[in-house]
Amino acid sequence: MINVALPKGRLGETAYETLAAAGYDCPAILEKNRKLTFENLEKGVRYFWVKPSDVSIYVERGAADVGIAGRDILLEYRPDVYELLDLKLGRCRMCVAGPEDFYDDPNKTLRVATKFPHIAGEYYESRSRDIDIIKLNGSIELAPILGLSDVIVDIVETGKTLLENHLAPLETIVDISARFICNKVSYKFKHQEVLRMRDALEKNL
Amino acid sequence: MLKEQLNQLYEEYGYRKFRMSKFEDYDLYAQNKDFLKKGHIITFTDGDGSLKALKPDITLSIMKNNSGDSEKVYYNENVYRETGGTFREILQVGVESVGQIDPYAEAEVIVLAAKSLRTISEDYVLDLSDVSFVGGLLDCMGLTGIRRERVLALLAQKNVPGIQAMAGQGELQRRDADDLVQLMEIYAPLKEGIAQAGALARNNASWEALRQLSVTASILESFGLNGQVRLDFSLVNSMDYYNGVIFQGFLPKIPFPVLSGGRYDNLPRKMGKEVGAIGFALYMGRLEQFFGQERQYDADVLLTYGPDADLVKLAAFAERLRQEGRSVRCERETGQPCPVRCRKKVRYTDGIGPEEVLA
Repeated sequence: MINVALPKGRLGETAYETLAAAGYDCPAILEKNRKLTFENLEKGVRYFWVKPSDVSIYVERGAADVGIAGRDILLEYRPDVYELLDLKLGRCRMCVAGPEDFYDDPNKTLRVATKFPHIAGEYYESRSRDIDIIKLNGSIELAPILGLSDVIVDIVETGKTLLENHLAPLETIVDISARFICNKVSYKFKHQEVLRMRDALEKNL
Repeated sequence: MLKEQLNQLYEEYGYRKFRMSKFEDYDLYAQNKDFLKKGHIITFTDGDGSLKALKPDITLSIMKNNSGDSEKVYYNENVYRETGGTFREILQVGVESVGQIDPYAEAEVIVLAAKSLRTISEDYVLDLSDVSFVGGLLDCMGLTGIRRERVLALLAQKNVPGIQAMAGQGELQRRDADDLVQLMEIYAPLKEGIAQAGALARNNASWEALRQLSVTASILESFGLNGQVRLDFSLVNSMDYYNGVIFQGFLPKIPFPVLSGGRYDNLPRKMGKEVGAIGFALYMGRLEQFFGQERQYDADVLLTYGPDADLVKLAAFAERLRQEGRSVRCERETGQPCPVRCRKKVRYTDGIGPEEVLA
């Protein structure tokens, strides 16, 4: 039995479809009810939905053997897991964004609002830029509009939200897509099962 | 009990018990910072004004006391380390072999590691890697500095997409990337794994590492160790501490390594001693989960009594139950619910027979 942590939301649903197409279907998951875990004994798989940022925690601590997590989460939280496959789903970019005509005055400490303080901190450290990180939990675009920050570091998919708020992507930090991750100990004790799932997924990309 | 079993195992191989005090001179840790896992040390000033520390590590003390002779020791000691922002006391059981480390001495320590794990569960896994083989390979690829660190981090994650991305951005040669991906795919019983790694060796250092490893593998076989020792190059942690074979032990249901060790000749060399060393530590704290037979009750019997009970007879009655092997908690009735959880609750009255409780 392999335990799979899926991120709630569109990415998780697409990821489940890929897994189902790869032979790990579990019809119970499509029923609308309050159940938390869904099993298909015949296929040897159990799914559960968790908050996207928690997937890596479930996998790191072995409550899930494998999981689907965005690379943004992996870069931000650095879980000690194996990153076995790029699912090429949920593609987007981690960007620095700000007012379209933003001028970065090197004499000033740059104020950066973000949900990803680790990624933002490391990016600016690599450029020796002194910054002030403002950790927010949502509506990041609001920060530069209200003058809370100069720029934001956030995920950009189409850039539409930015455009509507008269902001523009200024720099790309890293490309993001969904990854198939695996607990390091599960990899050892369920080696064949994990590799079978990885190979099936790879074939179905 | 587990501790005694382990001690007995080490003594069977002629290892001597190493005892040390809780305190060590702080200087030892200040001078060998590179060999300590990061984190702070608890220090205090001793009565004579010298700076002391609560030991964060045992290996350094063993090396300090070594006079350049061969030494085989084991220990069970508490160490004090910072994890997650607070200091913790961690019980560590470990083995160190110091002296001229040949493949036999190396295999012996690996066997002890495997047998330690087997004492806890038949269903264990011991993963082995060789940092000099990986190092030799990275040397041939001309990887240094930040790029080398990034590749090592990716190896530790078996991160194939990451390696391919580096190749895509021209930071790695295509051929090197392919070899690294193959390296990450190796996860096989030791001898089989060595054969697979042979296809990747490029320089003498790598060949030599593999040759040594296969001698060790043969000795492991004659110790009766097959199959459960596997080759896995994703163990690349602490590459500056270790310089040859490294290994980690895993048990089912515990999502962290419970044992970790390897060859560390750099430490004695830095201390000016002409010896090699290999050892491992077993993190006893991580085993709690495995022996997770949680207690469901504080006591078997909760014996309550009223204000008018005959206390002499009550004492005799409770003692009688204890002789029958029951744990008994006696509690005077207060009208409040009792804060303990017991399998059975009995109110003591004169003339009550033990059968009524034992049934």
